[in-house]
Amino acid sequence: MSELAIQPGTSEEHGVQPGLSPFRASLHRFRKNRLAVLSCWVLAIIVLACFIGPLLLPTEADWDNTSAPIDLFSAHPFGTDDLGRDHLIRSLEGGRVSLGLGFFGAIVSVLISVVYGATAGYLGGWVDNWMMRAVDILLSVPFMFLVILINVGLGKSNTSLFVAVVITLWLTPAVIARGQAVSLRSREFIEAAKAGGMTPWQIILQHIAPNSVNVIIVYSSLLVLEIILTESFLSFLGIGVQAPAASWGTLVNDGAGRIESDLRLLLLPGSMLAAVLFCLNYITDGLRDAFDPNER
Amino acid sequence: MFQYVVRRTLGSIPTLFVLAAITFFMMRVAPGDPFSGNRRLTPEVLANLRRAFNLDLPLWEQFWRYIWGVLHFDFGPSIKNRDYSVSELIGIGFPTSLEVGMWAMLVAAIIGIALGIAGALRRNTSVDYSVGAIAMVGLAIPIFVIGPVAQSYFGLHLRWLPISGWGDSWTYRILPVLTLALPNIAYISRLMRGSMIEIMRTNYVRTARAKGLGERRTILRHALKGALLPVVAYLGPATAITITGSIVVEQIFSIPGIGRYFVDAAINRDYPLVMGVTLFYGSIVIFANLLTDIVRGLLDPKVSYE
Amino acid sequence: MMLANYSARMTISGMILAAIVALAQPAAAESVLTRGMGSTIGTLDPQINFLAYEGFILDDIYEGLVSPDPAGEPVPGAAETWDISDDGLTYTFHLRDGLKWSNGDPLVAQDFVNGVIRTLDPATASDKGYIFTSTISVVGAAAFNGGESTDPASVGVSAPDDKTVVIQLEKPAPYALYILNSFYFPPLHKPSFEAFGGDFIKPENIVTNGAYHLIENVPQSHVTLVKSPTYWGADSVKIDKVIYQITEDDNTAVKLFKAGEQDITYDIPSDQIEALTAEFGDQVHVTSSTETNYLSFNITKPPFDDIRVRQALAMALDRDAIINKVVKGGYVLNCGYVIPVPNYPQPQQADCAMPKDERVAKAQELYAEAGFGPDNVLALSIESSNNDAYKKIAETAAVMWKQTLGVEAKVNAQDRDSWLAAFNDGNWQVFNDNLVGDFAGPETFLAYMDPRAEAGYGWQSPEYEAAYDKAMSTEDQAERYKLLAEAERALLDTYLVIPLSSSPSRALVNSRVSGWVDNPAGWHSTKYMSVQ
Repeated sequence: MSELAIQPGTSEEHGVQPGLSPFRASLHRFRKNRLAVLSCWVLAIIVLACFIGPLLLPTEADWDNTSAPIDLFSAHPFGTDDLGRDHLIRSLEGGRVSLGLGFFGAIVSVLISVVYGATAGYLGGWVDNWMMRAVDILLSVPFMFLVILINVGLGKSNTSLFVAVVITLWLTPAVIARGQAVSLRSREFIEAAKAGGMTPWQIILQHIAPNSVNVIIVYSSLLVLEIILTESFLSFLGIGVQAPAASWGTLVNDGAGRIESDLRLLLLPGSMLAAVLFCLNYITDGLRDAFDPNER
Repeated sequence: MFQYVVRRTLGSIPTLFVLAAITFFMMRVAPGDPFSGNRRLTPEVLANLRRAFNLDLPLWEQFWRYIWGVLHFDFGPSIKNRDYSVSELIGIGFPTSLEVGMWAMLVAAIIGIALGIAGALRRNTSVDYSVGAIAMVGLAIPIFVIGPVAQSYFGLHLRWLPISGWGDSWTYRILPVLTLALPNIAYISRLMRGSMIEIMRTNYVRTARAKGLGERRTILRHALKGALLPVVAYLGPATAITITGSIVVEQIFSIPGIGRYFVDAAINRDYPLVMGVTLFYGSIVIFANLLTDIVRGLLDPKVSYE
Repeated sequence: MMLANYSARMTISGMILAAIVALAQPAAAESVLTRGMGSTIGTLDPQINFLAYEGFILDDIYEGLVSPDPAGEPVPGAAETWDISDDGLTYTFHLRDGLKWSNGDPLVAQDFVNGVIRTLDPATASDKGYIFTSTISVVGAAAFNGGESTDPASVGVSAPDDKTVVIQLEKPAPYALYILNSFYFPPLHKPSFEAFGGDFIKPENIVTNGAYHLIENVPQSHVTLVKSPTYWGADSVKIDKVIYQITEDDNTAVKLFKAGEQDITYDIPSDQIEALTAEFGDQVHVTSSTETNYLSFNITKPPFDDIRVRQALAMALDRDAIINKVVKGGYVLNCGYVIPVPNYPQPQQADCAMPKDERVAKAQELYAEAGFGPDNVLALSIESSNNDAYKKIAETAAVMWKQTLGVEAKVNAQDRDSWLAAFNDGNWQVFNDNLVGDFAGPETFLAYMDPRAEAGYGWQSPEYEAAYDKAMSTEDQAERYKLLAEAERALLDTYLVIPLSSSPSRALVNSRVSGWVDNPAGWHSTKYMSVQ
């Protein structure tokens, strides 16, 4: 590869189309991606339904109508669960918890991991060594033990759930981000930035981190899903959402245990979860295509 | 490079020590003890039990005793699985977990990388969308759903494959390996597609193309190597996690691996087993990271072994 | 390193085992029974193992003085006959002639004494000592177990000659025969224990006295037993080989059963009982077990020290709906603390039979009287284990309290050990509680709730203590049961507990298996079964 003639980096990487600000140009490109736009709409509808739906509909348990089957023309179109609660409303309520936790958790995890990974990878040397050793140690503690410690330290609440999720999930993207930073470190535009007098911290935040995001963002749409599923596992262990509250994780988990007798319990929250995931996937792709500075 | 490996290996010893210390004291702060499962123990009996496992000593002394044991390759007895020592439990279970995990990662890497490349090269075509959809399905359906469904269909309905268990025949391997591989296929193909697209845009690949190198040669000689970097970074830790066993797959398919111990040990407060599996897991993660870094060095000449 | 060393040892012992198996197998087609096991085996050490499912295997490989018959009732085991003194304090057992261990050594009375001594020895650190110190109070057992006495002779279990075992109790325990089986009272083969220490129960070392002998124990996979030719009743044992398959996932076990790969499952998932009954008819077995479920209040903490609060919460629950509409799965509604026992005149908590409207109205009235209402909402947390049925019970109670009283209840479902640790810490409000009786009689349940037993409820009741003490010295069952019912009545009237149900014991049993009899104690010795 040494034979390749490499052109100087930074100036060229941020080309601007005449007449439009870069942001609006990107937005314009995003709007042309029909799949991504459609996904935005679907996601918006699901989010709205989850946050508004349960407020409009009755949530009382109906003891005389437990485990009612699907009947689209009754008061409970998707039936009731074994406590006589409307299955649709339960699923929407669960979505509220899962979406909130998933998005917020993914954003925080990605921010932490990108900055951490970029710092370690760019600075290199003993800083990298120590920072990655800390990650190694955390990664080497089996998941369960971390969770139990957090449980003890913070007490049971949604905060400790959130902390447990973020602490366990920022590690892998951090390793990826660091790998990306290591290979960016010797790129020409970084050399140029260094020569131009930028401090290491500025370089990390302005060049390394944003360029690592491209790889991490692929991972982050998966993070939302991973958080939602992790939460279901945590609920099982008793640190997750506490009943009678529910999340998609707990609902899918409960439904999976009853595949043989009542598929409906799995399918409704499961397909909502899958729909969100598909949407996120296409939106992520669309965003990357539209906002990637390399794309011209 | 040999020096690098030696240095990293020696460097991992303090890491493991810190890991042991953190885990040891963490577990002791957690509520419950190995004997809270029996509600009828009198205080005297409880004291006997604690004494039998040295739990009555000051915490520091217990810790040093444990480290001393580890230096002599003695990981102590398991409190809940009293018929076996911690070394025996890991020694019996790990080969099984390793077998399932290695196959699953191999299958996942081959299929995932191939799908990722296909998606990236035929970007925004039906090929790309179907690859994306396959990946999403693999992720959206959790393995605790895929596993039982596969059992019902291939095991019970078609009778092609055993439902569960771990016999000598290779047929017992297929369902667990595929079930475990599926989410990894999804992750790897997504990562591969992303980084392949990225790399195809870089100057050196463009130049290679501009210089008239064939599409195929460009991809194989230049693009692939660079595009594999993030995938390798993912594969390292993911393999470490996978070969140490998946509690879900092991439970569904009744596979006698070690995945179960990670959860049970903590839940049962089986302190020696917790320490044993943590140190074992830690060593594997460290080894996998070392391997990852070496492979990355081979793929990317800009990474130096400092 | 240790691991490498170990695998070499495994191979050699594997070869020896293979040889033993080859010798043990009869020429004719052997009959094999596969039984499911819900969890991996913690230990097969007969003096240590404490979990009921491990007891199934122990029951096959060891034999106590008495042995549970197919219906779980005690019948002669290693002892052919026994005498009980008039005061109910001395039990004298006479062993059969020619009893042998699996290696050919004669089995003598001292082996049973050694078993008890090892269980009680503080150095053994056994979970089971309480059987001899509290369930039946053997003379000197508590002192020896607690380390106050180091002389084994001070324990009231002795062997005056090779064929006689004498047990002396501090107070009468009319149900003692239920305890003297292989699970609680197995003999100890001292030579192998002295030679191998804790490893004496490894397949290559083990010496047994039951109808079967252990040849393989692979953690998380399976345990294999073969018929023991040295067992005194070997002629009537029909099944040659038993494989206990460890299938932790109940749904997997059902699939194995359907495919004919598992003859007897460990459990049946609640939601599948109906469908399986339709498909398999009488191969589906659901019967009561010795486990009782109830909600307990922490009466040492306000506001649960106020009986009106406890009563209001009890009355706000529609227990029939909880058990019969939500939990189902074979759980049986039970408004008394003790599980339903034949001939036991079980008292019921008063509100259980009240009409719904009246019950709810009374609950609301008491709740208001205690000072709670919309302006002063009672918020509480229910500690529960994360077992499916338990989680459901707790969640339903939380929802009902919210609906009828406006109580804000949260369910804290945790793993078993954290859940019990929460109880021991005393830092709980409502505990989703359970108790598994040592046998199917009221004595074991009421012994546990005895205020003096300090189970952790912090309650006092002279009436309970008086009735209980009187019952314990009453030989006649009908009279004793009447007194025990009085004690239970005292418990129920304090609303310390809200009894809800008794748990089922459930199994799928292939129709090719005969000799399976449903019984609450859950004993199903393989030696009584046969396969076609």
